[in-house]
Amino acid sequence: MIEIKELVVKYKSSKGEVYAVDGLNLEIDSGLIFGLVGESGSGKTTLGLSLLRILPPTAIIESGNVLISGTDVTKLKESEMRKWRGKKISMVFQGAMNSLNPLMTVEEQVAEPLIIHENMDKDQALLRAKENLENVGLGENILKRYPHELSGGMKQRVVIAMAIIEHPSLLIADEPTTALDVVTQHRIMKLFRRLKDEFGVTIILISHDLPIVAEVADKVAIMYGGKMSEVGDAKEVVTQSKHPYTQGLIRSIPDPRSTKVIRGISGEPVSLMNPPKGCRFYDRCSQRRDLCKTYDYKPAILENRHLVYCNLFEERMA
Amino acid sequence: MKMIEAKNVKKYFPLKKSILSRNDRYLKALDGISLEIEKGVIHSLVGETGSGKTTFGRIVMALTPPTSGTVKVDGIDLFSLKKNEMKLIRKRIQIIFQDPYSSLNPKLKIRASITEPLKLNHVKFDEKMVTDVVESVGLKPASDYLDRFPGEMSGGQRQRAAIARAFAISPELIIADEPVSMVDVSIRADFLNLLRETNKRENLTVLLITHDLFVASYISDKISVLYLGKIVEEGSKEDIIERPLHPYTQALLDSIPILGMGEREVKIKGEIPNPIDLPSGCRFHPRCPFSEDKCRQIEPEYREIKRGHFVACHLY
Repeated sequence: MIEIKELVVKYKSSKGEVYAVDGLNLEIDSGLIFGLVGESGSGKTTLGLSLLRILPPTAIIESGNVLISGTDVTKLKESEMRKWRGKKISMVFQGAMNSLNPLMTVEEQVAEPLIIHENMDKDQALLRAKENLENVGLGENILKRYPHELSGGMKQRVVIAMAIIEHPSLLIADEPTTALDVVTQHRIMKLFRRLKDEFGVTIILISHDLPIVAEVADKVAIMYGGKMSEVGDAKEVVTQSKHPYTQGLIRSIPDPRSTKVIRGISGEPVSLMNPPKGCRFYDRCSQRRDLCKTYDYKPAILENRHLVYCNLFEERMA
Repeated sequence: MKMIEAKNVKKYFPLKKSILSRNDRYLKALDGISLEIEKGVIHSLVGETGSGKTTFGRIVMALTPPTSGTVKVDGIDLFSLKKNEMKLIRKRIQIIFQDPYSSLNPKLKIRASITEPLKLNHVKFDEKMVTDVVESVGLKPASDYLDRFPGEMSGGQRQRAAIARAFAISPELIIADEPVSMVDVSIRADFLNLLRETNKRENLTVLLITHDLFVASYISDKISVLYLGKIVEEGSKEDIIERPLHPYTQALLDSIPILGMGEREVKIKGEIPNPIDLPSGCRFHPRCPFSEDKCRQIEPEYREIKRGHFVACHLY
């Protein structure tokens, strides 16, 4: 469904250019929940925004292609791209639940895209809004309420209802569970699973939280420093991770049922202002070799299309 | 010896009165919290948004007075102190805030941020001491960081600097309010280990306020679970993590995803209600899978079920 080829997205700033996404390749099959996991500054949000082509004005897609259902969205005219947004591809933005219009009732906000995009008459749109809110688990009693009367979890559901109201085939959700409580996080994740199962929508979950994503995602991709580190079956990546970064990430997550000492990854996340020529993880990698300084980023391909972007792994396999 | 002794602490925030209603309404952020923390212990206060955990932290830091109840720090009643006495006690308590972007003065170099509390409290210090404390939090070599402004550092480095500032004055009590929630996962572990090491080495008492049972379970000796302004369960880390009694604690634990474990079932319903209209009886009953008539009518007593393991629930 989605094919990203050698995508390069850069931000211009007064201090220089920042390559937030740097030569990235990725394929995402339709009908899956695909988790895109990375820390702050890994480029995961930039990648998500590139799919919809709604990058901030300082950013440009420098090269590469993004094919969605066979169409290269980097080549579409802005007027055509507009027709895609909301209808074919939709997005739940980071913190969107705090950007609901405080002066509009829930039903009005959810119905608004239909009235504006599809010129639907108001009554019909409100009816669709009601159906959609039911789909995300919100009952009729909520329709006439204002955002301040809702809890965080309810607001997030409203935002999701808005995002899916035009039946997109691809939904991108950026950090949909941050700032929610654990119990609510769990429910929102279950909701994504249900949307996928019932409506066949492909979902890209962008998050820094690997355990939460791994629970519902079919596949995950781990990003570091604007590049991929590891892509594969969600379960496989978390139980048999191969990339030193993924392994380090997993080691740094505490497990309440174990007394094991967790260890962080030493060093700081790589700066994309002057990224190293070789592997992006070189400075922090405990298993680095000299050859990693000049790494060309071709992945080792294991069974089940498990991709590992690490020299070391190829070496170990040989 | 007890470092913190809070007795029946209540904090009610009055709501704006309407012209028609006679009754004053309150938001009951804390509705009778009693908590004792032994010296040298890491004690976590875990709760969801709206549970009152941050309000409690602010009271222990003497940033806001309670509506009623008492708080003693090392036997001294915080809210009967004179200004100069307060200054002495403040020196022994340090705070680490959630957001390293707003808790460091952007116009002060790291060196100045760290030495300012020392100067204010007339603590003698030398360059070596400043270097040591900065290096102890992982900012090595210190000379690379001391003359930087916060804006020239990453989020992780800033939080380290904030921790160095808290440690510099050798406090006896650290109150850490969500200290790692804005720090990347890969460096989070180092912070927790650092807190634990300092706790062991200096017999530092830590009150850790967090929504994250992951974090709490990793470094705490004891955990209190807060729900709508009341402690519903308290015990050793093992009691809470391995043998949770309260249905709410159980649900929180069930909600934690464990890598590679697949999907989990969480039994509780709905979300945390508004602390303005507290439910009758047990405040957890509307969400509880085991609620009975009794739970709707009578508030359960907070009782010790086993040595050191307390719970407020009619099931026990």
